[in-house]
Amino acid sequence: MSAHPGDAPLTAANNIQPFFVLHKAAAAAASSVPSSRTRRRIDASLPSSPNPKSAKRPRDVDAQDEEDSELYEQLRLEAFHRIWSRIQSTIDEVLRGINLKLFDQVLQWVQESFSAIRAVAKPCHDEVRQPYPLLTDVICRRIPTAFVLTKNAEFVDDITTFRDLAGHLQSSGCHLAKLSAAEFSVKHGIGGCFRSLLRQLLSDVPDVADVSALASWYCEAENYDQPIIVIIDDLEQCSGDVLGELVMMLSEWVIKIPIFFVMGIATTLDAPKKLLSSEALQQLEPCKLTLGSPSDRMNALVEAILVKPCAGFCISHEVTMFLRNYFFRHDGTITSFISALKLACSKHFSMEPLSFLCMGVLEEDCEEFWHDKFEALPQVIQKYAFALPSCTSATNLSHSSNDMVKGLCTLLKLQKDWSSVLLCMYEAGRHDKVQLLDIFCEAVNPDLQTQNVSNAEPPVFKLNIEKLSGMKSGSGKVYMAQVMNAIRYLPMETLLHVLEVWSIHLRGMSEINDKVKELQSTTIDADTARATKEKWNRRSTGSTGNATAPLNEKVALLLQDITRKYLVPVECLPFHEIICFKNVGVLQSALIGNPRRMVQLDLLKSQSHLKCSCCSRTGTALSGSLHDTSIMCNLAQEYGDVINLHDWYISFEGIINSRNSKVKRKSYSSPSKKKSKSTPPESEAMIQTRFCRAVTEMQITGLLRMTSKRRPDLVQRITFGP
Amino acid sequence: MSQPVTPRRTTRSSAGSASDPASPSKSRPKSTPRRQLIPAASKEEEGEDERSAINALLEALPGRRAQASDLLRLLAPAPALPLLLYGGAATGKTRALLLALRHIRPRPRRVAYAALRSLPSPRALFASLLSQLSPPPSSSASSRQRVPDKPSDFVAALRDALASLCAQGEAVYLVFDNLEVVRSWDKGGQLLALILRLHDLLRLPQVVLVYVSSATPDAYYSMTGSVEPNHIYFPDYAVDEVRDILMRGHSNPKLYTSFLSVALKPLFRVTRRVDELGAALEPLFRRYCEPLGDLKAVPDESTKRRLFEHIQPHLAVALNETFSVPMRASVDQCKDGNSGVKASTKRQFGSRDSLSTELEFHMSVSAKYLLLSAFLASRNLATLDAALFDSTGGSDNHKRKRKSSQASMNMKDTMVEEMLMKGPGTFPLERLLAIFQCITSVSEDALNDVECPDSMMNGSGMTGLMSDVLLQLSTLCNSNFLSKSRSCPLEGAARYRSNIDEDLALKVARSVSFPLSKYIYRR
Amino acid sequence: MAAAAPVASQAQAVLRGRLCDPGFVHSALRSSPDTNYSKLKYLVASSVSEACNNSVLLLGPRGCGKAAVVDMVLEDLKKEHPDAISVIRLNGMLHSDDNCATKEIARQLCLEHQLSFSKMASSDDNTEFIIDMLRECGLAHKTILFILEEFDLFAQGKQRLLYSLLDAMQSLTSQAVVIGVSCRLDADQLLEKRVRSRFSHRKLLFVPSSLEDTQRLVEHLLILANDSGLPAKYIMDYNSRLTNIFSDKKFKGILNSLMDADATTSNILRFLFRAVSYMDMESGFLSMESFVKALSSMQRQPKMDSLQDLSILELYILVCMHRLEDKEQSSYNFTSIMKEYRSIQDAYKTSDKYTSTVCFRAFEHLLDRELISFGDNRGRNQALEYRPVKLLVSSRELAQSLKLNTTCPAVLQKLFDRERYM
Repeated sequence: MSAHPGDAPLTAANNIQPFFVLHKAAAAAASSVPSSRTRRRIDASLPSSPNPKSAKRPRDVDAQDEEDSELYEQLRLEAFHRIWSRIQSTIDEVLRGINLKLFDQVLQWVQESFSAIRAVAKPCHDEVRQPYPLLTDVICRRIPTAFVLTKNAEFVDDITTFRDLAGHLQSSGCHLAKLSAAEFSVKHGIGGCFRSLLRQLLSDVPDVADVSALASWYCEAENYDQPIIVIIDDLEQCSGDVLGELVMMLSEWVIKIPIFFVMGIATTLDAPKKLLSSEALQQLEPCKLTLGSPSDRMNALVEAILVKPCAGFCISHEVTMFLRNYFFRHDGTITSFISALKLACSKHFSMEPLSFLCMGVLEEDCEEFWHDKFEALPQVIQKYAFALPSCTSATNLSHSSNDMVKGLCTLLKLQKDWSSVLLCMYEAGRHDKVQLLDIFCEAVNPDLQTQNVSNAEPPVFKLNIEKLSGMKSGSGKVYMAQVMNAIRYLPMETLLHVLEVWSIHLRGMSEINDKVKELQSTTIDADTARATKEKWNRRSTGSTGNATAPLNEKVALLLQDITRKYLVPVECLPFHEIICFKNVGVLQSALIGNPRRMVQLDLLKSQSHLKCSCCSRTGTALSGSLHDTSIMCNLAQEYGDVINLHDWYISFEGIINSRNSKVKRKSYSSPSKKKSKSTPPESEAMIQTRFCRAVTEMQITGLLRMTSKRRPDLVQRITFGP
Repeated sequence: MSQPVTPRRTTRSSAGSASDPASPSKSRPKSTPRRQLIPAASKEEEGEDERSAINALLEALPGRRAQASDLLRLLAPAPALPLLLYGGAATGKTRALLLALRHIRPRPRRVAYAALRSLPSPRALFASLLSQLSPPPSSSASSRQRVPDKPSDFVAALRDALASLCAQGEAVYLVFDNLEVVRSWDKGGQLLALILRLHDLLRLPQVVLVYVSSATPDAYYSMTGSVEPNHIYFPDYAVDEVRDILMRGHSNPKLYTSFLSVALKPLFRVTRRVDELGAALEPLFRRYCEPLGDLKAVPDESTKRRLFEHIQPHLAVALNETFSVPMRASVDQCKDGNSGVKASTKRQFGSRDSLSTELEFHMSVSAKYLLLSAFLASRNLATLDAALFDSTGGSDNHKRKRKSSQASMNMKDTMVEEMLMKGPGTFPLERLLAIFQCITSVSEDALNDVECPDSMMNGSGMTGLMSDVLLQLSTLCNSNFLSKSRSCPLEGAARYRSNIDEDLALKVARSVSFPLSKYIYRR
Repeated sequence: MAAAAPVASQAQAVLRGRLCDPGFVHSALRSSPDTNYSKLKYLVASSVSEACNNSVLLLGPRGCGKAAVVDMVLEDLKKEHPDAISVIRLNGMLHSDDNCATKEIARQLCLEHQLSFSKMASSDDNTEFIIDMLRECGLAHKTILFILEEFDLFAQGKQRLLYSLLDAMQSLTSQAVVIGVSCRLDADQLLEKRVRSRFSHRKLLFVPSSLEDTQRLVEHLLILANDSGLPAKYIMDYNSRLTNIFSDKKFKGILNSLMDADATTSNILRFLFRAVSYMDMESGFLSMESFVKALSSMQRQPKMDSLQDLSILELYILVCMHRLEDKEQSSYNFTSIMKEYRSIQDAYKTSDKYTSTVCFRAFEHLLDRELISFGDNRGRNQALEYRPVKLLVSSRELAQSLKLNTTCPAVLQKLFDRERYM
């Protein structure tokens, strides 16, 4: 974020940098771990990095290549940091933009209810301090409470949201306290949570925490004229009794001390009804606020990051599908989606040798950038570049830098067109509740291209669409077809609106924009004529189609046309490997790990990790010098889903003793010396303790668990198979 | 904490406003006429203001004539036995007491009020009482150190404070409000005995103890002190009294009466608590006024009839909901906001348990399946799993359950009873996972045609779902759909219970197009 | 008579003062022979004069004037032997904990003998100090009176305090009297063996007074003496009216019904207090009405009252529960109640068919009013609607309240009766 404005001048200064800066910088960058915290340093090293190649040109390549490799690795690292920081900043502002609407609503609500409370009574200070309730007209004192529905069962995404909300409210002058479910525990009771409430508001908390302390604090001049907001971000996890008590207690005082609640609800409004007694609910004056649903956020993110090439990095169809399914199937949190994306990005830059060229997108003059970058490339990599599968498919490339640069430029250009067309399509589909992510998945599908070439008017799975809408996994062109249909039945004014937006999206592509323009012009006079018809059209829905047909048809045709022309998936373009991440397998293994299984495998194959001399010889046969746990784990393989502890122990003991005897025979086998020294002949008790410890470890790592109390002599295996 | 001591020689007016509990007269310029009326009464000459005081009280306490006069008689001249005000919630006990304390002659030297609900602990109670009785300056700094936590110390301190106050033979009133909550405190019994026996412990005739409780006196017999307090009973309000209360301070009484004549009686059959009635009636009245142009107009018969027609359906809704949460329409979405409201009301007309078919919140598919399987696990008996899940379901403990299922099928009605009694049953993690596997494997084929043919799809398909199932489980526990009973991290012997109701489960099932009803064991 | 009001209020003030002053209430005992007062006084006085140790228990239900008798005795003794006694008062409710008891004793001893008391002293120091003081006082022929109110509460726990006290009293040098006051008639049975063996088993039993005594008491309390600075004329016709009332049959009836409920002195006092505060200020005299009103206000039945306060829906739920109980259903909870309720509503098509949320709120109201309660006090983890519940009102009360309730729909009455007679 802070880095980007700084970028341009620095990179402009590239060419006049003396190259000796490089090594220092390289050292600095190399020493820096790839984390967003160290971006500052990397940016410091940034200006110098391009030069060396221009400097290094005269010297022969092969002597240099290991230095090159290290250099390019470092370049890629830097590229990753810059690009990811760009993406990250985009994400942040998108999400902030979404949240801001809610925040303003909350603030407005706070002000309204504060004025409402003050309208009832405006107690003077010593009235507030008095322990008695104020005698007013209100029949029941109720605490204004905003239920914020974060429409996601997963809570992760909303932690930051509520933190920002707190900041927002505080900045606008409210007193703020955040209570979490931890405070609302039955163990600490009402006293505990009230004390922590005070601790957040008062400077010094008296040893007896009761409301009067709060009252006298509130009476201080600087505190007096703002409401106190209490944010409880995870309502479901609170203990209902304690929360109810708190509500009852504060409701007695709400007119004197305006305390409002903001409660985050992950699921539905039934949660508070289930949680609180009707007595306590009676004391709340609720109102409902909703956060943008995850899919909305997702759409916004996809548009900002993936569709608009904000930082020349994109992902292939497979990866998209994988991420998408990961989002919908496993945990629908934006957070994990983003982290997955980050993972993909880092993988891309670590694996793809040419990936550092992505930086070019961030440069203001990418052609030149690519040019001298490519000039600097050693032969090996240049060859590699033209050996990219995408290029081999493409014809007549003389392996010169110009082709490369041209290729990349066309790539970018086509990407732009692609994205704008996609956005047009989304704009059209939005009225039919088509999710951008779905269209995106179809748009990046490489066999879309083939379909386009053999342009089959997409078959309309109208019946499927409903069925799919539950379990989204876009295949073929289902959603696109849906969009097409949607256009055909759009009412006039929305259609006009759509065209408006199109002309904005398509600004880059003049000829299509003209078409849109003239379409609009036709519609303008058309709909004046059709204005009368519109009415009964809407009444008789059946005839809507043919009534507005000619125009809708035109628009649909236009869309189809541009789709066919410009909606070229990135994977069908030469050089796309440079900017596009394709390797699903890596991502998948990184995201959906199977920890237990991994633990078990490592335990079984511990020799291969340790590479110790003693075990390598013995090979498959278990040697006693292994770690106890891995011995046990190996032994466990022989049993079924329950293991008889005694047998297990016997075989364990056998192995240990055999090793000990071995040790005794040749008393100087280096690695196991110390161990054997500590326990010359392994005592029974010692073995038993080792056994127990090993069992406990396996239990803790989740490979074992105790069976019922009735069978103390058995344990149960949880993981199976090597 | 407590208002300053007012020496008798101050002018009566200042004494009047300063020494009565919550007198708004001077401090609050813009106060309703009724509120000003009370100090006005209290400013009159002591001789004949008995009547006017009573009138003022009755003015302020509709439907509480008997209680008010009793209060005045029993509280009044200083040596008095302890007094217990009891009656249901929201019957105006505290209000009546506070107003009465303003009116009694001779004026109380000091009123110490402790609402036990807003005092989380005995220490807090002691602290607040002592700080109200001892003059503020000393209490602010020094009393922080010496807050007594033993009852004996407290009584000693209290006696000292009171003795110094009562020296001139003026009355001090100790009020204990929400007495009933103390019973639920730990060692509440002892504290309650202490509070109720203060009269004996203190042996100060000038100190009058007043207890306010929503629990009936016999709740305290077990622990009561020798001197039982005199009781004053506050019954719940009758219909007309409620009407009087609601009518107060309304701009257009005619309109409101016509409204109440429609709405009050039906609601009154459901609940008699004024606060609940008030809360329910307020939004109704806003609806009632919707068709009207100006709210000042006095409605004639035809308008009344029209309004009645208008309000009828909304009244039906209001009768059947305890807690209505209005959607907040922000400035930009005002127009679709009210349309949304209409839609919701329409939905409620149809039938209150007609569920809006879509799920309001996002949940990952695997979590949904896990939730469904949890629902099934706690709804069906374990012995029926084998019967309900077909053998393709691949639940490993299959043949073991086969024969027992037959036996359990024919003793169903007894099970029905205990289902009704026990509610959703608990289940171990293994069973949950087994059912989860069945469901997912069953719905696998349903998914496959949807899934795109890529190789990796199957990788992250339902088989992939198994991987982070424990994460999903924790999610469900956090969002209170599952409750985890006895958890021991090492041996996974925790048992779970799903506490979601059927229609939510149905919603979830619909969202993943899963035939839930096939698997629920119908009684 | 406009001037009546101030006079009357003065009279009222005087009467209230009397009623609230236990000393005055029981002062009648002084004159009369062989009451507990005289016994206790003899006992203590003798042990003071003979300089010996002694211990006695005053047992009897609450509000029979045990504490008052003790006070009177102490008062007299203070007059008779001004410097031979020193009094230590403990209350079981405050000082049942041994440490704070010893501390309190030490404090009071210091107070009595103008010694400086250190808050910091450990309980062992305090105990030693007490022993020393006992010996000292014994040597100085000064009797220490220990008044242990709520004696039974001292008997809880290890009874270390009692033991150390009584044990110290075994030595001849010491000179102390322990007077235990308790409302538990079996208070001495609570003592451990080692304590009981050291306790002399003198017990004075206090019983609620008979009708005659009560009448005497009432007269003693209400008849104004001539020296109570009120106008003599007023006093005269006040007393004459009062004697008329006392001689009235109706008044005897009132007293009887009052004493059937509770014959303790404190109850009488409460009654009289109400009567006095109901004295009407116009005439300025106690009238029969005030007594009647006082009695009626004394004889409330809280359960019936709160049954009268129920809304129709709440009554429905009560009746449903009652039906379930009549069906010998072993245990039932909210869900089964709802089942019953639904069946009733379907059978009779009444207008009172509400959703279960509303019914649950009514159910919670009943819980708050303590007309019903949960059968078990475990089940925190379980949802409320599945916890078994039980009625706390008898079917007689329920029937009566249904009859009294004017708004109660006929159907409900029918439902109730029907299942009672079949």
